[in-house]
This record gives sequence, structure tokens and C-alpha cells, in this order.
Amino acid sequence: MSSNTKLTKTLARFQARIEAGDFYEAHQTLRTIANRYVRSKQYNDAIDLISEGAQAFLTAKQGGSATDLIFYLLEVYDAAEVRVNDTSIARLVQLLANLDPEEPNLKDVVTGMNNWSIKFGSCKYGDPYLHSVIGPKLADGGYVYEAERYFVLGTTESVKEYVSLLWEWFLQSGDKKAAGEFFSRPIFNYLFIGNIENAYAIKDSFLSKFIEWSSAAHEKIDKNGFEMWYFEDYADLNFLQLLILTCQSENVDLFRNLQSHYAGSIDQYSSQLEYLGQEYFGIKIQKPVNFMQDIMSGLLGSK
Amino acid sequence: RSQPISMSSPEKDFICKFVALATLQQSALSSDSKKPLQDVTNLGVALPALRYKYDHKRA
Repeated sequence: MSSNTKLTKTLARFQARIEAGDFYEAHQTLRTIANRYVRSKQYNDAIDLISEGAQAFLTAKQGGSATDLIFYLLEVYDAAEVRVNDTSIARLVQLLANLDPEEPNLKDVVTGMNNWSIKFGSCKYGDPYLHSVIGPKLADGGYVYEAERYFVLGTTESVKEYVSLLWEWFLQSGDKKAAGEFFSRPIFNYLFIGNIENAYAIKDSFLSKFIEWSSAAHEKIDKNGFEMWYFEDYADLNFLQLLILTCQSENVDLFRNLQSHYAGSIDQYSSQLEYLGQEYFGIKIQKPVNFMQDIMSGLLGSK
Repeated sequence: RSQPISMSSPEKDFICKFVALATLQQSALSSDSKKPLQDVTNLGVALPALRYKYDHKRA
């Protein structure tokens, strides 16, 4: 019997047990057979069996068994040194899509998946497509700050998801004056990673929602291809739009000019602006001199 | 919806001049530029948490 026919039979038996509600036994049997595949290095069969199994448990609303098998799948990915590619990612994405956002170990599952994509992919922070699915799932589970990080490192689709999350959050806040606090997050996050395109996309989508929803007095400013909205009562929204243009110019005089005009009202952004100063304008961050610390780290050989 | 800009506010006045100056020359980076995620090695500064809780069940 070829391994494929054997695998099909195993899966059929497994499915029957699941349907009969025999979850514990189904889980144990599947693990035993998968172990056998792994030990004989038949990784593809192991991967097929485990991911099909996890999917069946998800369908049967057996989150505990399903996530256990997802962790097992990731172990096998690691052992088999499976690289990030369309197939290997799609398998995880499909499992994620069916995962209940209220699953208690959701965060560990997505971290496990992302860590594999870091180890066997080309991005330091993990695969963007995987992120684009992880982000909304985490947001649905209420892990907003974690979701935000994945949105920032996601795909074009993630930009829309990120705006929806921020917008919903802003509406929930019930604080119209806080628009700038919400708007500043994606602007800074995208500027930090050198993504001018997404910073502009956020500017357009978030601010048009804001204009439509609020009755904030505004005017459009349009010069030499640059468009922005001037808000009479939201200096922070004005500042942040100008900040994109300024980073784009990489002109240090403009950067200093902008900061001095808005000095005082942008104190809360000092560390963000310091970072941007370094990244876009070559302004060295001045660290306060700590003599004792320098001596100690010199002695201990750390930096 | 957009009206011609009057120079009634010092901030608006600043913005108009600033934008004119900043767009005088072609920007170093284009409006659709982005560093490929493969080349991103630093995420910048961690942003402080917002003062508002997000209720995912209400959403």
C-alpha cells in the first residue's frame, strides 16, 4: 500500500471517530501515527495528517485538540526545515482562519506560527501575508496592541484592517478630541519602517472618515501635487500630515522648522520624533553621558 | 466643501508657506515609496498605550 493510500485511510478512520464524538481517542491515534511518520522522516505525510487533523478538530469546535496539533505541525515544520512559501503559509492561514478568536492560547499559536516564518523566511519580523491574517484574528480576540504590530508589518489589505480597528476604537472612546492620538499611531508606525505609501493611505482613509463623521471645520490644501486637510481645531492632525511630507523630503531644515512651529503641542511625540530625526534626517541621538555605566560596561565587556 | 484659503490663522499661514516650500523641489522619496519588509530591521519606538480601552465584543 502506498503511503498516500495509507494516509487517506488513516484520515477516513480519524474523521469517523471525530464525527462519533470520540475526540480523545481520535487525537491520540492521530498523534501516534504522525509520530511514526516523523520518526521515519516522512515529513510530508506527517504534515498532511496533522494539518487535516487540526482542521477537523476546528470544525468540530475542539479548540484545545486543534491548537495542540497546530503546535505539533509547527514542530514538524521546524524538524523538516520547511521554508516559507505559498503552500506552507497557506496551510497555516487556513488553520488560523477557522480558529476561534476566543481560544485561550490564540496568542501562543500566532507567535509560534510567526516564529517559524521568521526562522525559515526572508523577513526579520515574519511573513507579511501571514501577518495579514494574524492581525484581524488578534483584534477579534481583543489583543489590539499585538494586532497593531502585525497590521503594520502586513499587506495592503492590512492597512484597511488597521484603519477599521483604529476607527472603531476611536468611536468607542467617545472622545472626539482624541482623533490625533489614534491617527498618530499608524502615521508613526509606517514612517518608522520607511513606508511612505501606507502613511499616505492612512492619512486619506482615516481623515476622510473623520471629516464625514465629525463636523470639524476643515479646508483642503493642494499644492504642487501634495494634498492635505487643514483642520481649524486639530493642530495635531495638521502636524502629522505635514510630518509625512517632511520625512519624504528628507530635508533637515524643514524638519526643524516644523518642530519649532509646533513646539509645545507635540511634547508627547518627542521620542518618536527623535527616532524619525535619526532615520530620515541623519540627526544623531544624543545620549546623556553616564560615566559609571560606561566604566561598568567596559569592565563587563558589554556594549 | 473646500473653500479658498484665507490667511486668517497663523497656523494656516504657516502650513501654506511650509507646504509651498516643501514641495518646491522634488522630494527625496516618492509618495509611494516603501522599504521592502525584507529590509526592515527596526520597528522604531514603541508607542505608548492609548488612554482608551478597546472592547472587541462591542465591535
